[in-house]
Amino acid sequence: MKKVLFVIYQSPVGTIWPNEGFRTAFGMYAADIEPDVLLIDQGAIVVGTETEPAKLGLLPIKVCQKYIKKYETKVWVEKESLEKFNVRVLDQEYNAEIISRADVKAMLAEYDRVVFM
Amino acid sequence: MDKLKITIQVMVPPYSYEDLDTALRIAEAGLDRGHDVGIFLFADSVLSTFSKVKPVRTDRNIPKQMQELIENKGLRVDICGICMDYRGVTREEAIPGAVPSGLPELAELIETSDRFINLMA
Repeated sequence: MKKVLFVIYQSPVGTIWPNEGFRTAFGMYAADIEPDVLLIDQGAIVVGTETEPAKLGLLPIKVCQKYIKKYETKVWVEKESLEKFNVRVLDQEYNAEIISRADVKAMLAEYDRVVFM
Repeated sequence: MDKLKITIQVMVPPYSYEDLDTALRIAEAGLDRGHDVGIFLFADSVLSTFSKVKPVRTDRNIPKQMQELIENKGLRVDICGICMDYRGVTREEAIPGAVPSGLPELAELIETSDRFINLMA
């Protein structure tokens, strides 16, 4: 079984990539792949409690939460990115684990595939 | 060298970015060396299969280039079917040989490819 990490680095408001990243990650279960998701740079904004693109009539992001829970998808979020974008309160429904940039570097080597979205 | 299965995933549109050009060059180089090469088109990159594009004469016709690689060198092209529907690209309008596909097929390619290249602008 291959380990695949999806790295989401673009904003959930103004781009489709957080949605597409999560959707693609969930699609991996069809091949018995265990996907993880890493949120960095503007992607870290996803986990903020107040992040709701749906309020602007955009594609909702919180719909991903039920599938994260259903599949027990591991979600990581980079500490420095949270600080950079002032994300102080995390929505616990993402069950995201905070990881430092230094540890991300080591973590990337543990995956067979790293897909940036 | 052993024959490798190589998959290249592209995400962005063909005439705003040049990832499709990169994918086609890598694909052709791999095919010329006898490897099994495929391109998986995701999101706006599916527009690169639209057979009715009409670039100016000095520019490249990406769908045509892709079709030639399919027909002459055996390139595999998978198109995300949901992404096609989203963008109104029908099977009839897509270049011949490009096959509507989906996330289960992408997962299979990620699992079984010897090399997986992800191009994201």
